[in-house]
Amino acid sequence: MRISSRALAAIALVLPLLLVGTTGSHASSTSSLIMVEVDETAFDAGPGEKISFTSTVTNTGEESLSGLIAHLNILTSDPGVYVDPEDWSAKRTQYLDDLSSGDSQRLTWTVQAVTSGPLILYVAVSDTGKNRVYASEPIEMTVGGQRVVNSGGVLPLVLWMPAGVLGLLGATLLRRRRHQ
Amino acid sequence: MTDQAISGYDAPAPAATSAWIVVAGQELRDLWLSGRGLTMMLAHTVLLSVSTYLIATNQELNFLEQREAINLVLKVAVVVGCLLVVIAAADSISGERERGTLESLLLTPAPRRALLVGKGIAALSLWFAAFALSLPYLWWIGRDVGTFPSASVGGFVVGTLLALFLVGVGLIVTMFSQSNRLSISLSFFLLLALVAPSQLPTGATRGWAGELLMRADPFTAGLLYLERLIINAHTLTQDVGLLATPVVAAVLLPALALGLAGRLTLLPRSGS
Repeated sequence: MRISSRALAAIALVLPLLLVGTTGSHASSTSSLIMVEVDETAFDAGPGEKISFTSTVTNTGEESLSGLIAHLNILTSDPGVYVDPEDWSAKRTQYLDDLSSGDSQRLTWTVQAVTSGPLILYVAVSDTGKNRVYASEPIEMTVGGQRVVNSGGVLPLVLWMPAGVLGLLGATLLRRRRHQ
Repeated sequence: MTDQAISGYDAPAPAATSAWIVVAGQELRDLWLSGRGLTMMLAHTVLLSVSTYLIATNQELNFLEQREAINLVLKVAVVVGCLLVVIAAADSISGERERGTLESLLLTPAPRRALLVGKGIAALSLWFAAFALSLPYLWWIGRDVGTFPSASVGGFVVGTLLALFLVGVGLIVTMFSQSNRLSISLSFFLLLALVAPSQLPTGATRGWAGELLMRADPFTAGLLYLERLIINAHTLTQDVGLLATPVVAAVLLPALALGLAGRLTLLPRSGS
């Protein structure tokens, strides 16, 4: 049987949607096993400021879980802002203890604001045994305007200071020579 | 020290004046009126000027947030000020020994401990001058964010503690060094070794060993205190625990140097 080009186009359109649907249902089916919650929804910070928040990982399934790894993700919604998560938090991965059914563990995260812009933070927990990932709700972090040094009037300072010391040195040496 | 300066020690001191004050006065005159101290200050201000100019105009460095820029300049001022102190202290005895003036100095009525105190004060004066010269730069960089008062007070406290510690280190090294080159290079190496942990990436200071190193090294602890004071806008007393090691080092090393003053000889370890 010969398949028409229109039918091929229809299959090409539907197949990815089916795959997406499969992935989505996988995520929703696994979301009931582990719940990741964060104690903040949004906060503002100034550049250089350090903030902390806590996430709680709860085993909502019926089996014990082991080998869970929590990871803090930091990204920006502004394409013009560069974010290197390494700069923002030195400790972004934490290994959880074994969690029995119904148990939970609290994890504290510290982030230092580096550049200004809109940031999104979330904690993802990987269940390596079942090859699944669970994520918390996002935290919206807004880092205020970055204040950089105003370069106006720098030349008089950087020239006059050494010049003043040089003048003092010259006067001292001259005085010394006269005394000798 | 010059022969003329040594002869100054022979003059009988007034009854109320301790020997160390006479020595300190002579050493200060020798350091500042000879032009040596001012030459060091010239190098210091040139370095600060270059750093400040780059921070203000260079696009890469001006990306720094203003508080980070203040912290950077303050760290440069503290570390370079301490470098000047350690060089002067390391030169104080071995320099005399190498120039052949130590014998005359030891023959003066001034006790050896007074000689060390006087030389230590002269070395320490370099820090105070270097810090005073760095204040206009700190004020200019931080003039919009209001961090100048805390940066200047914190920088003065931390820098003075570290300078006292290095005076002790320099005096101990110079007392037992036969050559000036050995004394200065050893003191310089010690300073580098003490500053190096503060430059380690954050990840390297994690864990008990990293925490211990951070608190046990006076330089790392002092610079971390300044960083929290300026960048994180902490109060002067919030991280005062970090100053425990610098305080202990600032008391212990000069005291140890004074304790060892009795062992100051013309040619140590030479056996001759």
